[in-house]
Amino acid sequence: METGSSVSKGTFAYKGKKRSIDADQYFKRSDTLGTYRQRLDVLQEAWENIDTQIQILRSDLNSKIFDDLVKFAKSSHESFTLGGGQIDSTPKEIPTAAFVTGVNTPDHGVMFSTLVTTLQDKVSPLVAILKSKDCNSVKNTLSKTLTQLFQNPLLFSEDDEAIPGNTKNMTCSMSTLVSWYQDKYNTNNSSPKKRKSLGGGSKDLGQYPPIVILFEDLESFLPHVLQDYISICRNYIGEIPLVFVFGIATSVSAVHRLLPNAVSSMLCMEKFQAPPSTEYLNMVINQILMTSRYPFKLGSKVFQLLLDIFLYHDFSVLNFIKGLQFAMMDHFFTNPVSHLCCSVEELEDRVTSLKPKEVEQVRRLMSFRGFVEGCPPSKQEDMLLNDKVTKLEFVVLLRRIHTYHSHLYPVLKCLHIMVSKIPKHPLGKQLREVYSRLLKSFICDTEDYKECIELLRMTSKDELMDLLQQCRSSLTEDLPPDLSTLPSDLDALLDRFLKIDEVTEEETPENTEESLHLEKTDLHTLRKRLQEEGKKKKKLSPYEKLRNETIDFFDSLFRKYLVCPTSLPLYEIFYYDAWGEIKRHLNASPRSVVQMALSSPHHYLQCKCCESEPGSVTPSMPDICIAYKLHLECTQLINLYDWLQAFVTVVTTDEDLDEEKIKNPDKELQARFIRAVSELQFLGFVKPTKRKTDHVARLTWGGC
Amino acid sequence: MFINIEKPTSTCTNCWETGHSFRLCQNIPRCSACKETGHKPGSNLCPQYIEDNSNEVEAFDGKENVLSNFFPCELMVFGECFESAEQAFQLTKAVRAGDLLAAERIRAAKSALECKQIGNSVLPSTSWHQDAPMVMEEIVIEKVKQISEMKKKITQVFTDEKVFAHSVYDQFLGTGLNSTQTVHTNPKAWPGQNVMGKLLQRVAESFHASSQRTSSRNRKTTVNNASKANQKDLDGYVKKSKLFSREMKHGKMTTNSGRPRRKCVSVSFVGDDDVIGHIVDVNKKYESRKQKKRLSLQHTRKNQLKYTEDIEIIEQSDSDEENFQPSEQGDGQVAGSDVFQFKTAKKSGSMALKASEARTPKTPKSILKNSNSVSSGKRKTENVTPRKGEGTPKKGTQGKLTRKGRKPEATTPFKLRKRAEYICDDVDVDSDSSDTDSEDGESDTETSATPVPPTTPRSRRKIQEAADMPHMVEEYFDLHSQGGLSTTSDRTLAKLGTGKMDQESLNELLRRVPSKHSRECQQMYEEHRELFHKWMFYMCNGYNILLHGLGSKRTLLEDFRRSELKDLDHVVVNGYFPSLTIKHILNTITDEILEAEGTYKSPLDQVEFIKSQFETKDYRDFFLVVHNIDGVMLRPEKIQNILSLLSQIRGFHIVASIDHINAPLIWDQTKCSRYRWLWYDVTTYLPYTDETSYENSLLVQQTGSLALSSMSHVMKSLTTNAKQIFLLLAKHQLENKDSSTYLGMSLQDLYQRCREAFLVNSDLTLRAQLTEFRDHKLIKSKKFVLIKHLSFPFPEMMILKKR
Repeated sequence: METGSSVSKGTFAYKGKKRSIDADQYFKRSDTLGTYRQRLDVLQEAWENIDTQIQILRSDLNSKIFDDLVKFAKSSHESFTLGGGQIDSTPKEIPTAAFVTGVNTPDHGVMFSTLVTTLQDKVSPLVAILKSKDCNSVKNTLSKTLTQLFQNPLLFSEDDEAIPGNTKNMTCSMSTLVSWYQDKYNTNNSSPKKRKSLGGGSKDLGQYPPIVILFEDLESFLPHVLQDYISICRNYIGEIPLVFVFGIATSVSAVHRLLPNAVSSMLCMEKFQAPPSTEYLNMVINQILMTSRYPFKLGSKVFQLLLDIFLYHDFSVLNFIKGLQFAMMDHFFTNPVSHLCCSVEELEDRVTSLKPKEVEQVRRLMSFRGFVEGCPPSKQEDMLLNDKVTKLEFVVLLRRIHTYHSHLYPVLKCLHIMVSKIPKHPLGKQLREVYSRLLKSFICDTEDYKECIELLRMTSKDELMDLLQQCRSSLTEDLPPDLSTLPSDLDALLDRFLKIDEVTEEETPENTEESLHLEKTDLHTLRKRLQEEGKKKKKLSPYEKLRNETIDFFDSLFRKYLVCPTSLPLYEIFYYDAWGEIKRHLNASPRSVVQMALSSPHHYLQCKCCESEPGSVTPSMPDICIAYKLHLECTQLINLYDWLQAFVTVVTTDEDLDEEKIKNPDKELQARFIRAVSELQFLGFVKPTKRKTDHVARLTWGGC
Repeated sequence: MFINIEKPTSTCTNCWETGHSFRLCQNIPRCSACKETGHKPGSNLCPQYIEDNSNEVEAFDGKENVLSNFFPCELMVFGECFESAEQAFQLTKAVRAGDLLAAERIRAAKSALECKQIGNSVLPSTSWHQDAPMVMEEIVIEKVKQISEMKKKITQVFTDEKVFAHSVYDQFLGTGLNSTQTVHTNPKAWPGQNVMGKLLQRVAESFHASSQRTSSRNRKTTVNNASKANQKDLDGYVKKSKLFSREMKHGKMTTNSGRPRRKCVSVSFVGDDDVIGHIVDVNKKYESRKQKKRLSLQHTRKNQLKYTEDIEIIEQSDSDEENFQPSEQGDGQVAGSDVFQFKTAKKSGSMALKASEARTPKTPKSILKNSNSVSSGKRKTENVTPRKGEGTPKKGTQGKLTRKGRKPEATTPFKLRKRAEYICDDVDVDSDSSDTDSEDGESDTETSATPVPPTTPRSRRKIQEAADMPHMVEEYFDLHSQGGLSTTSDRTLAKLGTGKMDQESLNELLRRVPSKHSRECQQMYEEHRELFHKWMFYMCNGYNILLHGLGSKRTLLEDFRRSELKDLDHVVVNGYFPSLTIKHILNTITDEILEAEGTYKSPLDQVEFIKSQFETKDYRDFFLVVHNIDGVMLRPEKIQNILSLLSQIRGFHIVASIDHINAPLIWDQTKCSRYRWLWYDVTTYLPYTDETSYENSLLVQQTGSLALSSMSHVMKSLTTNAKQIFLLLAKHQLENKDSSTYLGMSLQDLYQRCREAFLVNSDLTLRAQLTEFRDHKLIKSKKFVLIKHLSFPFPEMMILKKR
């Protein structure tokens, strides 16, 4: 069935025989060397590992704030008893948690769903979550609340007869909820056995579990709906234990902006601040990118780009992870030998099972070529022709990258600790900034690094010891053999710093003695001598000596381990640095693409005829480009007739150009022009206007 | 070009001593002409007294004299309409002085005198005494052009070889004497500088001179045409003076040059902004600033400059400068600053210029001829349409003037002359609309009045970039203060002679047009095709694909659908379909793919249902192919919200395309991240045939063939009686088709007639019939009056066919 020009339908359904698709077959089609299966396996395994790690991180990150919220929800209605409302005539305030979540709205969905499950586990099964999209009237809001509360699967595992019918034929009001709640927990009260089974795993819920209502995106709620809803709820606060949780993306003042004083006075608010998303990002980077556990790494440009998207676009860690996943997929998809990007254990098997073609492919990598050129000539030949030798070399080289990684991260952390306190932060404040510099070039050659070392040579003893202590404590993880002595070295240094006072006492007398030996000389030599003496005075104190020694120690450590990854042979297998791909597919700029295509068709068509300077029009260009370029010359309004004339002037060839033809162009030219104009209209460059007959209005001003 | 103007010192007009003002003067009054005491100027005691010289001197003052600024007339200057020349002048003065309050009052002033009074209270800006003559000249030129009486008068006075004397007490503009005194005083002894008079003199002079030339050249010019010729020549004068002043200022010719023509006389349009620009940078101070402004606009101007031969030198230096600018177009992307610009100043003729430019490099010769013929062709058509805001009816026929090319008269090298023509010619193509100045220039460079364009001093081009920014700001407000209407021509498509085409014939025509670059497009298309499996792979991993880039992506998507999705469940949505709703999409999914029956309270409810269907049963893949997810009907936030929620369902994949340049704006941060788009640039350059076919394009006649066919289907199924009722209605409408107040046929009336024709027997049956028509959208009803709109354009034909 042709779907294009149907005038009666806009949607067309096609049923297929197959139920699902398989990533395999698509991956296979891009394969040239027959390594797709291995690559796909490696990719899927790696991604699963990373994904689970991210899940863990996510729950870790919010655990503290969730605990606080749980505590708040639990404690807010401790003294609640049924029927208490009637006795206590003074209206109470609704306990409300203002949960400030930050502006990274894309991440909130996940955060709230975890919060809901946490609350259901630990506080009460009665949790409802409201989203602004469902709540455009009070009635909707109420019905949404009630359906979520009544149809909670946690409640009705055994208690079938208690289901209050279908929500559709139930009146949605708070009084329904109240009677339901009283009914439920009064009966439970009389039969404690039942209640126990009801509570399931959470036995310590207390007699009257509070009803928690979450507002996921408070700012997007309609103010009047929210006001009415809160007012209604307040009337029942004596009869049912309600707790609100407001999800606020901006700041608490948003509540006051939404609610008038009369309403906000019904709330007893407490503020909870979610950790900022940058913290989450740091965790992700530290735990996933900066460990030797996952061999896949991001190259410097891609890393920087993803960071930029995070910092300047959305603050969304989800999007960062999305980018990471895309980078991984693209890496394994495009690089035919990427299956070597695996853990050390599998490495040897993988390399030995390489087919000659694959070996050839690896040889073609730029970094390996450079490596071969650096080898002695006798070895070069073997490397290029003898597969066996080459494979052995591969193993060595790839192992080296693995060990490099295992050394890199602990040392990098040390570097970060050392430089993060330096004024103006020449190497950056965050670990990720230092890391990004390391990826770019050999960090120890940069000016900023030298500046840091200079500044470190001037630190006071307390500061330096503090730094050393921090470094020491950061090195708790199991260290690779080469670095295993590092903690003890640091300990030794620290010891020496502690004992430094004893050393000073020994050495000072010598100095004073020397300076006392003054002989009788002439003025010139005296002066010289005094100058020398002055220099000697500057001679380092034991602390300074030790400090220099320490800094030198660190400097050599950094220089040894903090090598730029791109300087290592075969780094391409682990590092993904196709910056353009990420930029094009994740952070595209569709308008500039369209304008590029319109203003310089040569860029896309690669034809000879349209090759011209930007800004000029040639008849060979596509019609729409000609119309576009002509329209650039106009102000706000464009006369269609003039436009047509100009178009015809450009398009017609010299031979058949005569007065009559331009004045009254043939239908074909007119049709082409009409098409071009309506396409421009479709693209949003012009629109029809009624300000003047046969005119269109221009909508954009940029042209290139 | 202007006479050296002495700065008026603060001389007392009573005793003619310097240092105090007239009001504070204690001295005996002296004659203003001879500076002697004891008599008034113009009396026969004055040594400067002469007999009435009104034969030689044309003294003018007051609102009765057309030459005077006080003469009430509707005048369009500087893009504004004024009631008198004085108002225009005083307003300019007030605006220049920055006294906007006074400016408002002047605008509101009822008489010219009031304007003058308000104007006198304004403290003029420092450069005003220099600018004033230029402003005045501008106004006078406009006045001569627009006011026929003025033209007549000025011609007459000039041919009588009289001296213009502005006999008012103004020491600067006028003679400093009243009209009798002026007449009786030796012109040399006039205390005032009579700037206004000199100005008129000059205008008249050059206007006359050129008219003389024209008439001598064009022997065939009839007497009837003389005044028109004068008009032309006057324009020519304006043009020349403008050019001249420009040269003075910038050392080069105007940039709004046109196509070369063989005929010497040409008209060029100078936009309002130019006029203002021209006035504004009179003095040196402005000069350099203007230069800077130019640089900032270089990019746009460059195009205009490019083929104007005589400024090629400048052009080169321009492009040199641009070469230094670092190109920001990494990775084939266009820099954001190029895409998102402010409005920039455009000449209204630049489109035509650009068009001609496209051909110029190849065959300059033929262009010379062709564009000539084009413009003369245009000139004829111009006669038909009255020009907007035209004061005199004469003007409309100006174009009939035929001119003949003249041989160059030695001295100036031919090439140079040609260049000058290039510049002067721009012309009719450029539209006439705002008649601030549309002028006709004699481009003969040998005329003493027009000097040879000097070479551009390079030093001017050395400009500090730092000062650009404030000028961009100024430029911005300049552009936005003037309406967009003023710079487009008045021509309409009716001139094409052929009617609008309908969609079908358009398609038919386009089918025959060979597509350009079909080979390259095919190649690109093949490259895009190779990405199919990659897309599928990414979609397996939970991403969705979004295609963007120029050209229809429909074919590509259809191709993708056929080759990759043929065995899978999928739904195709034409986002550009004008009556698409989200309900359609969701219903298609639930009814035809999930094969589930059910009613849903809201679309969100339905989404929930779809979600539960997909996520609770076994894993299945489903693809939603959306052509133009940015289509008009899919743009609302709610619909995008629903689509983005769908995209989150497990196993639910979306492949979509966007075309509108602002399409990404329909998604906010949250939706964007829900969609998990992977963007693909698939520029195809294919025509948007299907996508634009629904669009109500301006140039396409809406035939309503759809309504026609639907109607014939309905008609077939109708009973004879119903048909008769319909025909009755249709006939009634046809009878009344010329009446503009026709609302429709009232139900009562219809019922009456139907009864008479034995078509219905009760009101109820009629209503039942009408409901059927209404359901098929053949009629519309409004309140109690039944309004029937024939929804087809050729009702006669239709009805004939039915019979």
